[in-house]
This record gives sequence, C-alpha cells and structure tokens, in this order.
Amino acid sequence: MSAAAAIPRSARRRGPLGVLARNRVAQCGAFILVSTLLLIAGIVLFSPYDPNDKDYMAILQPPSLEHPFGTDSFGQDVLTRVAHGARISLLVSVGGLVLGGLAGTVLGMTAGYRGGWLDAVITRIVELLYSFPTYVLALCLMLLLGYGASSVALAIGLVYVPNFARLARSMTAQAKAENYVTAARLMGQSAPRILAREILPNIAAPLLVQFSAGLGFGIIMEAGLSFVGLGVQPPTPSLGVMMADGKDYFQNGPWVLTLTGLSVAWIILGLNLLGDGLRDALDPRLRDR
Amino acid sequence: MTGLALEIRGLDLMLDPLGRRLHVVRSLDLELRRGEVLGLIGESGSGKTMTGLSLLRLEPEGARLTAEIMRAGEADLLQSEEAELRALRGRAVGMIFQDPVGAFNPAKRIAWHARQVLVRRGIADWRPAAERLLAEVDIADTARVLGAYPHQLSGGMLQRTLIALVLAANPAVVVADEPTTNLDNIVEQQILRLFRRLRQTEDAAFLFITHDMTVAASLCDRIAVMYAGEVVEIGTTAQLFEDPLHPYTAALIATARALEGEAERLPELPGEPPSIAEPRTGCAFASRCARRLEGCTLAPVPMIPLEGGRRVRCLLHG
Amino acid sequence: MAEAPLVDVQDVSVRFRRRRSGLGGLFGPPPSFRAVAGATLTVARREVVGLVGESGSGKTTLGRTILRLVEPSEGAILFQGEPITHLRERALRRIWGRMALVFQDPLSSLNPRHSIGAALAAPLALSGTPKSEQQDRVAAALQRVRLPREAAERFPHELSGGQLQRAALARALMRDPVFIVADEAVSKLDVSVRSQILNLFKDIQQELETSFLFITHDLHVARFLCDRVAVMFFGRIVEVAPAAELFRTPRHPYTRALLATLDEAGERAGQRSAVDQEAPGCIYRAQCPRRIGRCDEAHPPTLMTAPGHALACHNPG
Repeated sequence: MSAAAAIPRSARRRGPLGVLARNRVAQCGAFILVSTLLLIAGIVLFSPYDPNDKDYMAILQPPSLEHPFGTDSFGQDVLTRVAHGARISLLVSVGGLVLGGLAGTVLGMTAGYRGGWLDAVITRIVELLYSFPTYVLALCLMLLLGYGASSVALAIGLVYVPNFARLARSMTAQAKAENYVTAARLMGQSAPRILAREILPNIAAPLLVQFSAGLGFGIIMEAGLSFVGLGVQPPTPSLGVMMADGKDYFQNGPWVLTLTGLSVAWIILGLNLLGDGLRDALDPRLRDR
Repeated sequence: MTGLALEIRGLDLMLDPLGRRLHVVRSLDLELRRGEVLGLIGESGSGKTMTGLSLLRLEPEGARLTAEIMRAGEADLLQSEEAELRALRGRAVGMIFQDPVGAFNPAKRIAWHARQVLVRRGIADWRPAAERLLAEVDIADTARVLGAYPHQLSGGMLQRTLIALVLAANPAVVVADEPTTNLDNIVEQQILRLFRRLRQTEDAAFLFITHDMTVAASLCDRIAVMYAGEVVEIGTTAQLFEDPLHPYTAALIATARALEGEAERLPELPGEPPSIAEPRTGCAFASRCARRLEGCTLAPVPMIPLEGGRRVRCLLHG
Repeated sequence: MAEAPLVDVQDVSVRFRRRRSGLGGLFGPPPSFRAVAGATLTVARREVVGLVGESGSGKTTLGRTILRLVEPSEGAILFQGEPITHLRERALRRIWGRMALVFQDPLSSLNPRHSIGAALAAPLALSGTPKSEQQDRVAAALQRVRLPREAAERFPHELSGGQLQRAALARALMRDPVFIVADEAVSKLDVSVRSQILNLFKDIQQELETSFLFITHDLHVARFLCDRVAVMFFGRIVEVAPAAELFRTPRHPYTRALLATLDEAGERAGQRSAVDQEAPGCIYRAQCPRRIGRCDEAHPPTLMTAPGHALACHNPG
C-alpha cells in the first residue's frame, strides 16, 4: 500500500518576484525605476544632442520645448547629459555593490560557518571598516587609486563590504545550526559546497534586499565624490559632475543644479521604495500584519 | 438549570487565515456533568485544541464562531462583550496549557500569581489559602514555591502550580490541553495521578484534551474522538475500549494495544489525516476506511445516537 | 571469539561549557556540565539498540557523539574497529558515508529550497554517479520507503509529517549506511501515522540488516523495535540489557521507576530534584528508594550481572 497515492502540489514559496506581486510599496518603486530606466535608454539612444555637443549660441537657456531641462554654460543639453550621467552613476553604483556584495558575502559566510579564530579575525577587520566614516574611507581609497569611475565603484564596494559581511555572517551562523546543514555534512558535502548549495539559497533574499537598498546610497556616494571633484572626472557626464558644474552658475542658470538634483532624488526614491518594499515583504516579523 | 457543567450544541468554528476559509470545528455537541472527566482525543489538526480555546472564547482573531448553545455552569459563553467574556475566563472555564511556562508572568513570583487569583475571588487573607491550594496538588514546600519565580521551578512543579491556581477560581469546567505531553514519563504519571485524585474532590468538570489513547483511558469517564474537525464517536471509556464502533476509534485502540502488548508488527491505518483545507463531501475518514460503504462519500454523515448515551458518526451503525 | 562490535563506545564523557551568568561568572574557572559521563555501549552488526531516558538525560548528545558531530572530552569511540574519537571533519567525511542520522523533526532536516529528489540525489552527485543512474536510485529509494515516484518533484513543505519522515529515511539510506542513529524519529508523528513508520523502520532494518541506535523516551517504542535497551539518567548509562529481559526483570531502581509508569498501579516514584553532578556518590541516590550507605560514597561501577546485562547500582533490586 502506497503511503501517499497523490501528493497535492501547493503554491511555490514566494521569492522576491512573488513578493513584488503583493507589496504596493515595492510595486511603486519598481514602476518608478523601470519607467525611468526606459526613459534614460530612450534619451541616450534617440536624443538629437550628444552629451558633449557644445553650442555656444545657446548658453544657459532656460527649459523649453527644444531643451526640456535647459542648457548649461557650454550650451550642452542638460536632459541628455542627465540621462548619460544617470547611466554612468547607475553603472558605478551597481558595479560597486556587486563587488562589495560578493566580497562581503563571501567573507561573512566564511566567518559565520567556520567560527573560531577565522571568525574573530574577519569580524574585527569588518568592524574596523565599519567604524570609519563612510566618506573618509572612500576619500582615502580615491587618493590611493586615483580618480575616475572605476575607483568610485571600488570605493562604494569597500564601504558596502561590512554591511554584507555582517548580514551574511549572522544568517550563516544561524543556518549552520539547522538540521538540514547537519544532514548535509553527514552526507559528506564539503564546507564550500554546503555554503553554496544549502545555505546561500536560504539567506539570499535578505542579501538581495540589502543590495537594492544600497543602490540608492551608491548613487549618492558617486554624486558626492564627483561633486567635490574626487570622483568621475569631467567631461564624462555623471550626476555629481553636473551638479558640481551647476552650482558654479546657479545664479544665472538655477535649473541645471535643481533639475539634475531632482533627477537624482527621483531615482533614489524609486530604489528606496523597492528596497523597503522587499524588506517588509521578506521579513517574517513584518509580514502578517 | 440543567445540572450540566458544560453544554455545547452545534459549535462551528471557521478560521480565515489569508483569505482561505478553514472549517476547523464542525457541528460539535458535547456535554459534561459535574465531576466528570471527558477525554477529547485527536491528532494534530483534528480541531481538539480549537475546541478547547473556543470554550474560553479565545478563538483566533478573525475567526467566526457559531453555536446554538454554549454554556458552562450558569454562564453563557456565547456573549460577545469582551469585558463579560474576560470575567467568565478563569471563573466559568479554566484552562491548563501544555506549556505551563506561558501561563505565568516570568517577572513575578508565584506568590504574586496566587494573590491575583485569590484576591479576585474575594479572599483577603490569601497566603494561607495559597498554601492550602499548593498542598492540595502535592507540593510539599509551599513556602519555597510561593517565593520562587516561574523559571526556578521544574516543568512538573510549574504544571502542578498552574493546576492549583486554575482550580482556585472554582471554575465549572477546566479545559486541560495536553497537560502532560511535555513532561517526562515519571512526572507525567504523577500529574495524571493528581488529576485522578482531584476529580474525586473537586466539583469541576474536566475536559481533558490529549492525543494519547492510553492516557485518556487511565483518567476519563467518557471519551470523545475527533477527526478532521468532527467528533466521530463519543461514549464511556469502557464502551469505547470494549467495542469501538467507528473504524477510526477501532484503529487507534488497536494501535495502542499492539504497542503495549508485545506485537511483532503494528496494525496500520493507511494514508494520513486529510488537510482541513480540503473540500469534502462525505465522511472525512472514508479514504482511509477499510469498511467504506457507497454512501460514505456522497453526503455528510450525521451523528447517530445509540443506546447508553453513545453517539457515532458512521453509516455502519445507522 | 565473538564478532567485534560495529560501534564501540568506551567510557565516553562529553563536557559542555556553561554560559557564565552574573557577576560571579566573571571569576573562577568556566563552569562546565557533563552531558554524558562515562558512557560505555556497543552496537553489534544487525543490532537495534534502544537508548531511553528522560529529557536532559544526555541521550541525544550521546547519539551525536557517536556520529562524531560532537567531540568527546574523554573516552574513545571505535567504528568498525577504527578509532574515530578525535578525527577531523575531512577524515570523518569518509566515515560518515557508512553512518546516518534520522532527526526528530523531518521538516527541519530537509532544506526548504531543495526538492526531495534533489536532496536524495545530492550524495550521489558528489560521488560522480551519472544523472540517469541517480534518477533510478532516487526512484528505488522512494519505493523502499513506500513513497510515490512523484514525491521526488515535491518540496518539503508540500509533504505531510509521515511522508516527510519517509523522505528523510530515504535520504539517510542513500549511501547504504551500516549504522543509523534515529533520534526520537517517531515522537512528533500523529498516532495513526506512527505505526506505519515504526513498521517501516522494522522492515528496513530486517531487509538491509542495518544497525540502529534508536533514541526514544517512549518505552513501548523501544520494546517494539529494539534488541537491547540502554537506560540513561543524568548523563550516565545505568542499565543495559536485552529488551525482553529489561522489561521483564529491570534491576536498577531508576529503570524500575521508569517501567512503573507503563503500569499505573506501579510503585510510586520519587520526585525529581536537581542532581549535583560533581558530588561523589550515585547520581540517582536522591530519588532512590533502595539507597544504602555506599551510595553516598561513589557512583557504582558498571558490572555485568548476567550475560549481556550491565548494571551500575550498589543495591540492585
């Protein structure tokens, strides 16, 4: 006699995408992001202007149908430059978080799983990184590596290593005590395999939330570093570079700084809404309200 | 006045978690006389705990509870005023939980808990009364226990204390939900012995919820067997053990007997209990039943009254 | 000469450090607690040994120590004649292929993100078994525990309690272990499902001739499944005997108290009180109705009172 003639199939567990279908805040954030990304892509591909086209006949023109965001002191179209700048800022931020996320997760999972002296060493290093003020740490790295987009990405990554490491460490230590990990050990699986196959899938969701929440801050950091001239270098358009330019002639063309700043705020709003929504939906303590 | 300590007619309880409607207790009738112990037997998900909570009107939030009659002693449990229900809890119906730790405030000594109960009952000179109560449940060093915090007492000691405090309010009905399941064998035996003694001296009626046939047999006057939200059979302990009528009751008793005897193999009941969320047309047990008739899956099976106060929900006896 | 035992536990103790509490905990040596104290036990090939005792008696710790998930502080553990007492994890992996563990809560022992089929195939993939053969072996394992084939595609949360314990047992059997520790493997199951699983354990043991250490607090279960039964109290094994003999003529006062719970007319057992592990004398003396002068002096040595019957008591009944 079979113990179970038929086993009913229940709904799959909700992953981050399933969460998106239920959480209003996350939906809102995703909508802002996707529409903005499409807009950026459209402008980059189809804009009649090149971001570095200088038109000295049309310097500091206020917003008009021809130039919706106006022009800057070189007569460059601000909207086109914002779109190109946002693309670069986003790339720098995503790149930085991917680096920081990978390094932090590997360090944290190793520390959490191995325990002992290795855990103590990694934890101390991470705490040391964490105790530096964010911008001081980033500035030190810029001075060491030189300016430029890739250095900014590295700096963002370094700043984010401790966040990912701490999160991964505590969750891995928790998962290590689970019976299914003991069972995997008894099945002869090696530590790296257990970390990748058994533990990572179970702790991935909060790490993803951390990633999406970090993107917004990555953009702010890029903008900040570039604003003070230590980040992406002109003439490459990045949001920080443009805001730095804009402040110089704010009196004559306030729209450059204002509209670029608002664009930054808009993108970060979308990212943060998405991050918050994902966090709420994946946190079991907040879920069933 | 009916002379019954507890009377329930047609109790239904619907839960509504995340929009899925779960019918966890279905048209349940129970009655307890004063001084009687009724065993409520069932597996996890059979609705036995929800029945117990319904008697205290502690059903989960958003649940829909309906019944024709639900009375404990003089009190009508179908009140809807939370204030009145709060007054009934403890006084009309007392509850002993599986995990006694949760019933105590961890930051307060036992004496504080005893005073709460006794002063509420109008006994100003509570301390001697508290010592008497604890002595009644076989606690020897009452002074130490009264001065202790809950975490300083062992599980068995805490369960005794909880029993004493619940009985102190003189409820018409005491609901005991698996009160010995978390205890070690020897302590479990002691608590069961205590229950056997208390039923002689107290006039409260006990509803003893358990999954263990053997425990129920050693303590209860009558037994009600629950399966998938329904009572499928109710009768005296002797009736059930000598001549179980419902095939599910028969299977439970056969399993318990085989494990106690020195059987080489245990009788097996095929399959597993149905999920409470599954829609059903007929008898919930039909898919596992070796004596299934054609009519079993067509329509809900009514409770069939038999001689000697027995009732069974099975077409074989209709 | 008798065959050497499959598992040989010699005088094993396990100490756990206690968390320091309060200001006083800052000074003095770290407090420790002996979860297992001087346990000696063997499991022969094809034998099912029961380990019974109450919560906190150390039976789970002893089971995990034999599997070397816990390292003993004293004593020695031999598996198939080879000492494994202090092996490191890399070396243990080779031993673990021949041992397995079945947990009390099957749901927690299966990774929620892996299908049953993937969980069962994991050890095969590790040893380089080709994909098609993996599928066949998974199907065969499911059949052995009487689960339908499609269970391989299901995730743990889709199965019921009995099905999960079958799946967990199937996974334990994937590497053809010669020795399985089952830790309260049926105590969380519903009554009507428990007998199915108990019968299944018995069938599999007879079919595969696997040795078992069956940890349980349920004496009926121990008697049903086990050839020999060891009784633990506060970290010590107080009596070991063939199951039938132990249930017929228990000799240690604690075993007697435990067995008396099966029969409500039995003798009245003493109340359980805190046990001071470090004080000299028998650990059971505070509750013991047969206590004599010597019981306060030293814990009794374990002696063979009859063939296969070991007992640690100064004044056995």
